[in-house]
Amino acid sequence: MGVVLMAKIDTNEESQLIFRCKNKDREAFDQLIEKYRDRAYAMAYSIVHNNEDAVDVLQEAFIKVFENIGSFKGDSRFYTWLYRILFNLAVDCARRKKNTNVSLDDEDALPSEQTLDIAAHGTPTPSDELDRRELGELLNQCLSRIPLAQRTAVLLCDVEGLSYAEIAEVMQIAEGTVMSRLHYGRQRLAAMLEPYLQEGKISQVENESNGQTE
Amino acid sequence: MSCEDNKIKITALIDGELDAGEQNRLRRHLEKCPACAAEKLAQSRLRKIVRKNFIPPEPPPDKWNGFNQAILNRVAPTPLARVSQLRVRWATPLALAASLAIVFGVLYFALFRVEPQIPVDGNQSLAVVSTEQASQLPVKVAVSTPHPSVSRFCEVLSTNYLKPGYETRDFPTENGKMVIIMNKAEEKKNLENKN
Repeated sequence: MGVVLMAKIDTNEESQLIFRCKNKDREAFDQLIEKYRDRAYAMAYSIVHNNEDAVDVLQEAFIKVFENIGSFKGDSRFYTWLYRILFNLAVDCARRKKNTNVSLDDEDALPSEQTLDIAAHGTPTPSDELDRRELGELLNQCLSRIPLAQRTAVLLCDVEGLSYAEIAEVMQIAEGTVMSRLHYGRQRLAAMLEPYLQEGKISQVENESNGQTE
Repeated sequence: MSCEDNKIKITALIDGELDAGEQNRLRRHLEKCPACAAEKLAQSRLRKIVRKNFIPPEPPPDKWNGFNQAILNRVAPTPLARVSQLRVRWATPLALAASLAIVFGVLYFALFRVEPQIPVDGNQSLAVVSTEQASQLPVKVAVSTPHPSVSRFCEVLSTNYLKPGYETRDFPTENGKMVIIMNKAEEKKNLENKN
Protein backbone atom coordinates (compact mmCIF):
# COMPACT_ATOMS: atom_id res chain seq x y z
CA MET A 1 0.00 0.00 0.00
CA GLY A 2 2.94 2.24 0.64
CA VAL A 3 3.71 2.02 -3.05
CA VAL A 4 0.16 3.04 -3.86
CA LEU A 5 0.41 6.03 -1.57
CA MET A 6 3.62 7.10 -3.20
CA ALA A 7 2.16 6.90 -6.67
CA LYS A 8 3.08 9.91 -8.73
CA ILE A 9 0.28 12.11 -9.93
CA ASP A 10 0.58 13.27 -13.49
CA THR A 11 1.35 16.93 -12.97
CA ASN A 12 0.14 18.04 -16.38
CA GLU A 13 -3.17 16.32 -15.91
CA GLU A 14 -3.35 17.72 -12.41
CA SER A 15 -2.62 21.25 -13.60
CA GLN A 16 -5.45 20.99 -16.08
CA LEU A 17 -7.81 19.72 -13.41
CA ILE A 18 -6.84 22.56 -11.11
CA PHE A 19 -7.30 25.09 -13.91
CA ARG A 20 -10.75 23.72 -14.58
CA CYS A 21 -11.59 23.71 -10.87
CA LYS A 22 -10.68 27.39 -10.73
CA ASN A 23 -13.41 27.86 -13.30
CA LYS A 24 -15.76 25.96 -10.99
CA ASP A 25 -15.83 22.86 -13.16
CA ARG A 26 -17.53 20.26 -10.99
CA GLU A 27 -16.50 17.34 -13.16
CA ALA A 28 -12.85 18.29 -12.80
CA PHE A 29 -13.25 18.64 -9.06
CA ASP A 30 -14.88 15.23 -8.93
CA GLN A 31 -11.76 13.79 -10.56
CA LEU A 32 -9.50 15.64 -8.17
CA ILE A 33 -11.37 14.24 -5.18
CA GLU A 34 -11.18 10.76 -6.68
CA LYS A 35 -7.44 11.13 -7.13
CA TYR A 36 -6.61 12.19 -3.60
CA ARG A 37 -9.28 10.92 -1.29
CA ASP A 38 -7.55 7.66 -0.34
CA ARG A 39 -4.25 9.30 0.50
CA ALA A 40 -5.95 12.18 2.25
CA TYR A 41 -8.16 9.80 4.21
CA ALA A 42 -5.10 7.98 5.54
CA MET A 43 -3.63 11.28 6.68
CA ALA A 44 -6.85 12.40 8.34
CA TYR A 45 -7.32 9.05 10.03
CA SER A 46 -3.79 9.09 11.42
CA ILE A 47 -4.71 12.27 13.29
CA VAL A 48 -8.32 11.73 14.36
CA HIS A 49 -8.17 7.92 14.74
CA ASN A 50 -11.80 7.56 13.89
CA ASN A 51 -13.41 6.63 10.60
CA GLU A 52 -16.39 8.97 10.83
CA ASP A 53 -14.33 11.95 11.88
CA ALA A 54 -11.76 11.23 9.19
CA VAL A 55 -14.44 11.27 6.50
CA ASP A 56 -16.03 14.43 7.90
CA VAL A 57 -12.69 16.20 8.03
CA LEU A 58 -11.93 15.05 4.53
CA GLN A 59 -15.19 16.43 3.22
CA GLU A 60 -14.59 19.77 4.88
CA ALA A 61 -11.07 19.86 3.49
CA PHE A 62 -12.22 19.26 -0.08
CA ILE A 63 -14.93 21.89 0.27
CA LYS A 64 -12.34 24.38 1.49
CA VAL A 65 -10.10 23.42 -1.38
CA PHE A 66 -12.84 24.12 -3.90
CA GLU A 67 -13.80 27.39 -2.27
CA ASN A 68 -10.21 28.62 -2.10
CA ILE A 69 -8.66 27.05 -5.15
CA GLY A 70 -8.53 30.46 -6.79
CA SER A 71 -5.85 31.40 -4.29
CA PHE A 72 -3.72 28.34 -5.10
CA LYS A 73 -0.87 29.79 -7.14
CA GLY A 74 0.96 26.55 -7.84
CA ASP A 75 4.04 27.60 -5.87
CA SER A 76 3.82 24.29 -4.05
CA ARG A 77 2.47 20.92 -5.08
CA PHE A 78 -1.29 20.66 -4.95
CA TYR A 79 -1.38 17.87 -2.40
CA THR A 80 0.95 19.81 -0.10
CA TRP A 81 -1.64 22.56 -0.15
CA LEU A 82 -4.45 20.05 0.33
CA TYR A 83 -2.61 18.40 3.23
CA ARG A 84 -2.09 21.73 4.93
CA ILE A 85 -5.83 22.39 4.89
CA LEU A 86 -6.54 18.82 5.93
CA PHE A 87 -3.97 18.87 8.71
CA ASN A 88 -5.44 22.00 10.27
CA LEU A 89 -8.98 20.66 10.12
CA ALA A 90 -7.98 17.26 11.47
CA VAL A 91 -6.07 18.74 14.40
CA ASP A 92 -9.01 21.02 15.20
CA CYS A 93 -11.37 18.06 15.05
CA ALA A 94 -9.17 15.93 17.28
CA ARG A 95 -8.91 18.77 19.78
CA ARG A 96 -12.66 19.20 19.85
CA LYS A 97 -13.04 15.51 20.53
CA LYS A 98 -10.42 15.82 23.24
CA ASN A 99 -8.25 13.13 21.77
CA THR A 100 -5.64 12.24 24.38
CA ASN A 101 -2.70 12.42 22.00
CA VAL A 102 -3.47 15.56 20.03
CA SER A 103 -0.96 18.02 21.38
CA LEU A 104 1.48 19.41 18.85
CA ASP A 105 4.03 19.79 21.59
CA ASP A 106 7.15 17.76 20.86
CA GLU A 107 7.56 16.80 24.48
CA ASP A 108 4.14 15.33 25.16
CA ALA A 109 5.55 11.86 25.39
CA LEU A 110 3.26 9.16 26.60
CA PRO A 111 4.15 7.20 29.74
CA SER A 112 6.84 4.71 28.94
CA GLU A 113 4.83 1.77 30.26
CA GLN A 114 2.09 2.65 27.79
CA THR A 115 4.39 3.02 24.82
CA LEU A 116 6.07 -0.30 25.50
CA ASP A 117 3.00 -2.27 26.40
CA ILE A 118 2.20 -3.26 22.86
CA ALA A 119 1.72 -6.96 23.52
CA ALA A 120 -1.04 -6.18 26.00
CA HIS A 121 -3.09 -4.67 23.17
CA GLY A 122 -3.35 -7.84 21.13
CA THR A 123 -0.23 -7.35 19.06
CA PRO A 124 2.01 -10.37 18.44
CA THR A 125 4.78 -10.80 20.96
CA PRO A 126 8.42 -10.79 19.87
CA SER A 127 8.58 -14.55 20.32
CA ASP A 128 6.41 -15.04 17.24
CA GLU A 129 7.71 -14.39 13.79
CA LEU A 130 5.97 -11.41 12.25
CA ASP A 131 4.53 -11.64 8.82
CA ARG A 132 3.96 -8.57 6.71
CA ARG A 133 0.48 -7.88 7.99
CA GLU A 134 1.46 -8.32 11.62
CA LEU A 135 4.41 -6.03 11.21
CA GLY A 136 2.16 -3.44 9.59
CA GLU A 137 -0.29 -3.63 12.47
CA LEU A 138 2.50 -3.41 15.00
CA LEU A 139 3.91 -0.40 13.23
CA ASN A 140 0.52 1.33 13.16
CA GLN A 141 0.08 0.71 16.86
CA CYS A 142 3.50 2.12 17.59
CA LEU A 143 2.84 5.16 15.40
CA SER A 144 -0.46 5.82 17.16
CA ARG A 145 1.44 6.02 20.44
CA ILE A 146 3.85 8.75 19.55
CA PRO A 147 2.93 12.43 19.79
CA LEU A 148 0.85 13.80 16.95
CA ALA A 149 3.46 16.27 15.76
CA GLN A 150 6.11 13.58 15.47
CA ARG A 151 3.73 11.02 14.00
CA THR A 152 2.57 13.44 11.33
CA ALA A 153 6.13 14.35 10.43
CA VAL A 154 7.10 10.68 10.15
CA LEU A 155 4.09 9.82 7.99
CA LEU A 156 4.51 12.81 5.70
CA CYS A 157 8.19 12.03 5.23
CA ASP A 158 8.36 8.24 5.20
CA VAL A 159 4.96 7.35 3.78
CA GLU A 160 3.98 10.35 1.66
CA GLY A 161 7.52 11.10 0.58
CA LEU A 162 7.28 14.84 1.21
CA SER A 163 10.43 16.92 1.49
CA TYR A 164 11.26 18.77 4.70
CA ALA A 165 10.19 22.02 3.02
CA GLU A 166 6.83 20.52 2.13
CA ILE A 167 6.31 19.06 5.59
CA ALA A 168 7.17 22.46 7.03
CA GLU A 169 4.51 24.01 4.81
CA VAL A 170 1.87 21.47 5.76
CA MET A 171 2.56 21.71 9.49
CA GLN A 172 3.46 25.41 9.40
CA ILE A 173 6.73 24.94 11.22
CA ALA A 174 10.40 25.57 10.44
CA GLU A 175 12.39 22.97 8.51
CA GLY A 176 14.68 22.57 11.50
CA THR A 177 11.64 21.65 13.59
CA VAL A 178 10.64 19.10 10.98
CA MET A 179 14.07 17.52 11.33
CA SER A 180 13.89 17.32 15.12
CA ARG A 181 10.34 15.98 15.10
CA LEU A 182 11.34 13.28 12.67
CA HIS A 183 14.37 12.46 14.78
CA TYR A 184 12.47 12.14 18.05
CA GLY A 185 9.55 10.41 16.41
CA ARG A 186 11.78 7.77 14.88
CA GLN A 187 13.64 7.46 18.13
CA ARG A 188 10.39 6.67 19.95
CA LEU A 189 9.36 4.22 17.29
CA ALA A 190 12.74 2.53 17.48
CA ALA A 191 12.40 2.19 21.24
CA MET A 192 9.01 0.48 20.84
CA LEU A 193 10.20 -1.81 18.08
CA GLU A 194 13.48 -2.63 19.78
CA PRO A 195 12.33 -5.96 21.27
CA TYR A 196 11.26 -7.14 17.84
CA LEU A 197 14.44 -5.89 16.23
CA GLN A 198 16.60 -7.65 18.85
CA GLU A 199 14.77 -10.89 18.24
CA GLY A 200 15.49 -10.50 14.54
CA LYS A 201 11.82 -10.67 13.68
CA ILE A 202 11.99 -7.63 11.44
CA SER A 203 15.37 -8.15 9.89
CA GLN A 204 14.11 -10.03 6.81
CA VAL A 205 11.75 -7.23 5.97
CA GLU A 206 14.53 -4.75 6.44
CA ASN A 207 16.74 -6.52 3.92
CA GLU A 208 13.98 -6.54 1.34
CA SER A 209 13.63 -2.78 1.44
CA ASN A 210 14.86 -0.51 -1.25
CA GLY A 211 14.77 3.08 -2.31
CA GLN A 212 16.48 4.56 0.71
CA THR A 213 18.46 7.72 0.37
CA GLU A 214 21.28 6.88 2.66
CA MET B 1 28.90 20.16 17.50
CA SER B 2 27.81 17.63 20.13
CA CYS B 3 26.90 14.04 19.34
CA GLU B 4 23.27 14.82 20.28
CA ASP B 5 23.22 17.58 17.66
CA ASN B 6 24.84 15.24 15.16
CA LYS B 7 22.23 12.57 15.82
CA ILE B 8 19.50 15.00 14.81
CA LYS B 9 21.49 15.89 11.70
CA ILE B 10 21.74 12.18 10.91
CA THR B 11 17.97 12.23 10.42
CA ALA B 12 18.38 14.83 7.69
CA LEU B 13 21.34 12.94 6.25
CA ILE B 14 19.40 9.73 5.69
CA ASP B 15 16.48 11.73 4.29
CA GLY B 16 18.80 13.40 1.78
CA GLU B 17 18.06 16.85 3.21
CA LEU B 18 21.61 17.98 4.04
CA ASP B 19 23.68 20.13 1.74
CA ALA B 20 27.01 18.80 0.48
CA GLY B 21 29.09 20.63 3.07
CA GLU B 22 27.03 19.32 5.99
CA GLN B 23 27.06 15.81 4.54
CA ASN B 24 30.85 15.76 4.32
CA ARG B 25 31.27 17.12 7.82
CA LEU B 26 28.84 14.57 9.25
CA ARG B 27 30.36 11.65 7.35
CA ARG B 28 33.78 12.54 8.74
CA HIS B 29 32.27 12.56 12.23
CA LEU B 30 30.57 9.20 11.66
CA GLU B 31 33.88 7.62 10.73
CA LYS B 32 35.27 8.59 14.12
CA CYS B 33 32.18 8.15 16.34
CA PRO B 34 30.79 4.62 16.78
CA ALA B 35 27.77 5.87 18.75
CA CYS B 36 26.67 8.20 15.97
CA ALA B 37 27.41 5.53 13.37
CA ALA B 38 25.16 3.14 15.28
CA GLU B 39 22.50 5.84 15.46
CA LYS B 40 22.67 6.28 11.70
CA LEU B 41 22.27 2.55 11.20
CA ALA B 42 19.31 2.39 13.57
CA GLN B 43 17.58 5.38 11.97
CA SER B 44 18.13 4.05 8.46
CA ARG B 45 16.72 0.70 9.50
CA LEU B 46 13.69 2.23 11.09
CA ARG B 47 13.03 4.48 8.10
CA LYS B 48 13.07 1.44 5.83
CA ILE B 49 10.71 -0.46 8.09
CA VAL B 50 8.19 2.37 8.14
CA ARG B 51 8.40 2.95 4.41
CA LYS B 52 7.93 -0.67 3.57
CA ASN B 53 5.44 -1.79 6.16
CA PHE B 54 3.14 1.04 7.01
CA ILE B 55 -0.42 0.00 6.22
CA PRO B 56 -2.56 3.05 5.56
CA PRO B 57 -5.95 2.88 7.20
CA GLU B 58 -8.57 2.02 4.67
CA PRO B 59 -12.12 3.28 4.90
CA PRO B 60 -14.96 0.76 4.98
CA PRO B 61 -15.71 -0.50 1.46
CA ASP B 62 -18.91 1.52 1.09
CA LYS B 63 -17.46 4.70 2.58
CA TRP B 64 -16.90 6.38 -0.77
CA ASN B 65 -20.47 5.75 -1.90
CA GLY B 66 -21.88 9.19 -2.45
CA PHE B 67 -18.81 10.83 -0.93
CA ASN B 68 -17.87 12.91 -3.97
CA GLN B 69 -21.48 13.79 -4.68
CA ALA B 70 -22.02 15.01 -1.13
CA ILE B 71 -19.08 17.38 -1.54
CA LEU B 72 -20.15 18.50 -4.99
CA ASN B 73 -23.66 19.20 -3.74
CA ARG B 74 -22.22 21.48 -1.10
CA VAL B 75 -19.74 23.35 -3.26
CA ALA B 76 -21.94 23.81 -6.30
CA PRO B 77 -25.68 23.51 -6.26
CA THR B 78 -27.59 21.52 -8.85
CA PRO B 79 -28.48 23.41 -12.04
CA LEU B 80 -32.07 23.94 -10.88
CA ALA B 81 -30.94 25.29 -7.56
CA ARG B 82 -28.39 27.44 -9.35
CA VAL B 83 -31.09 29.04 -11.49
CA SER B 84 -33.15 29.63 -8.38
CA GLN B 85 -30.16 31.18 -6.60
CA LEU B 86 -29.38 33.23 -9.67
CA ARG B 87 -32.92 34.51 -9.70
CA VAL B 88 -32.75 35.53 -6.08
CA ARG B 89 -29.24 36.91 -6.34
CA TRP B 90 -29.87 38.96 -9.48
CA ALA B 91 -33.50 39.88 -9.04
CA THR B 92 -32.82 43.12 -7.21
CA PRO B 93 -29.89 44.30 -9.35
CA LEU B 94 -31.78 43.43 -12.52
CA ALA B 95 -34.86 45.28 -11.38
CA LEU B 96 -32.70 48.23 -10.42
CA ALA B 97 -30.88 48.17 -13.75
CA ALA B 98 -34.16 47.96 -15.65
CA SER B 99 -35.59 50.86 -13.68
CA LEU B 100 -32.49 52.95 -14.30
CA ALA B 101 -32.61 52.12 -17.99
CA ILE B 102 -36.21 53.28 -18.16
CA VAL B 103 -35.46 56.45 -16.23
CA PHE B 104 -32.43 57.31 -18.34
CA GLY B 105 -34.34 56.43 -21.48
CA VAL B 106 -37.15 58.76 -20.53
CA LEU B 107 -34.71 61.46 -19.52
CA TYR B 108 -32.78 61.07 -22.72
CA PHE B 109 -35.84 61.39 -24.86
CA ALA B 110 -37.31 64.01 -22.58
CA LEU B 111 -34.32 66.25 -22.13
CA PHE B 112 -31.65 65.66 -24.73
CA ARG B 113 -33.14 64.35 -27.89
CA VAL B 114 -33.52 67.45 -30.02
CA GLU B 115 -34.09 66.50 -33.58
CA PRO B 116 -34.49 68.42 -36.79
CA GLN B 117 -38.04 69.34 -37.50
CA ILE B 118 -39.94 66.75 -39.41
CA PRO B 119 -43.53 66.67 -40.56
CA VAL B 120 -45.84 65.54 -37.83
CA ASP B 121 -48.99 63.71 -38.63
CA GLY B 122 -52.24 64.27 -36.85
CA ASN B 123 -51.87 61.34 -34.47
CA GLN B 124 -48.85 62.72 -32.71
CA SER B 125 -49.48 64.69 -29.62
CA LEU B 126 -46.35 66.73 -29.76
CA ALA B 127 -44.46 68.61 -32.32
CA VAL B 128 -40.78 68.15 -32.85
CA VAL B 129 -38.71 71.29 -32.80
CA SER B 130 -35.35 71.90 -34.30
CA THR B 131 -32.34 72.87 -32.27
CA GLU B 132 -32.45 76.23 -34.00
CA GLN B 133 -36.05 76.76 -33.04
CA ALA B 134 -35.37 75.66 -29.49
CA SER B 135 -32.54 78.13 -29.19
CA GLN B 136 -34.84 80.94 -30.25
CA LEU B 137 -37.29 80.15 -27.51
CA PRO B 138 -36.84 81.09 -23.85
CA VAL B 139 -36.25 77.44 -22.98
CA LYS B 140 -33.51 75.17 -21.83
CA VAL B 141 -34.50 72.18 -23.90
CA ALA B 142 -37.31 71.43 -26.20
CA VAL B 143 -38.55 67.88 -26.28
CA SER B 144 -40.66 65.64 -28.34
CA THR B 145 -42.62 62.72 -27.05
CA PRO B 146 -45.00 60.10 -28.30
CA HIS B 147 -46.88 60.38 -25.03
CA PRO B 148 -50.62 60.29 -25.78
CA SER B 149 -51.44 62.87 -23.17
CA VAL B 150 -49.38 66.04 -23.24
CA SER B 151 -50.62 67.26 -19.89
CA ARG B 152 -49.86 63.92 -18.26
CA PHE B 153 -46.44 63.91 -19.84
CA CYS B 154 -45.71 67.38 -18.52
CA GLU B 155 -46.91 66.38 -15.09
CA VAL B 156 -44.64 63.32 -14.98
CA LEU B 157 -41.74 65.34 -16.26
CA SER B 158 -42.19 68.07 -13.70
CA THR B 159 -42.80 65.76 -10.78
CA ASN B 160 -39.99 63.33 -11.38
CA TYR B 161 -37.27 64.75 -13.53
CA LEU B 162 -37.02 68.48 -13.50
CA LYS B 163 -34.74 70.40 -11.23
CA PRO B 164 -36.20 73.19 -9.16
CA GLY B 165 -36.54 76.32 -11.20
CA TYR B 166 -37.65 74.57 -14.33
CA GLU B 167 -41.13 73.97 -15.58
CA THR B 168 -42.87 72.54 -18.59
CA ARG B 169 -45.13 74.36 -20.91
CA ASP B 170 -46.93 73.19 -23.99
CA PHE B 171 -47.73 75.26 -27.01
CA PRO B 172 -49.94 74.54 -29.94
CA THR B 173 -48.11 74.61 -33.24
CA GLU B 174 -49.27 74.14 -36.75
CA ASN B 175 -48.20 70.52 -36.55
CA GLY B 176 -49.59 69.73 -33.13
CA LYS B 177 -48.31 70.51 -29.69
CA MET B 178 -44.84 71.32 -28.51
CA VAL B 179 -43.62 70.88 -24.99
CA ILE B 180 -40.83 73.04 -23.76
CA ILE B 181 -38.92 72.97 -20.54
CA MET B 182 -38.42 76.44 -19.30
CA ASN B 183 -36.06 77.96 -16.88
CA LYS B 184 -38.21 80.42 -15.01
CA ALA B 185 -35.35 82.77 -14.20
CA GLU B 186 -34.11 82.82 -17.77
CA GLU B 187 -37.59 83.38 -19.07
CA LYS B 188 -38.02 86.27 -16.71
CA LYS B 189 -34.67 87.73 -17.77
CA ASN B 190 -35.53 87.34 -21.43
CA LEU B 191 -38.84 89.07 -20.91
CA GLU B 192 -37.14 91.93 -19.09
CA ASN B 193 -34.65 92.30 -21.92
CA LYS B 194 -37.44 92.39 -24.45
CA ASN B 195 -39.25 95.04 -22.49
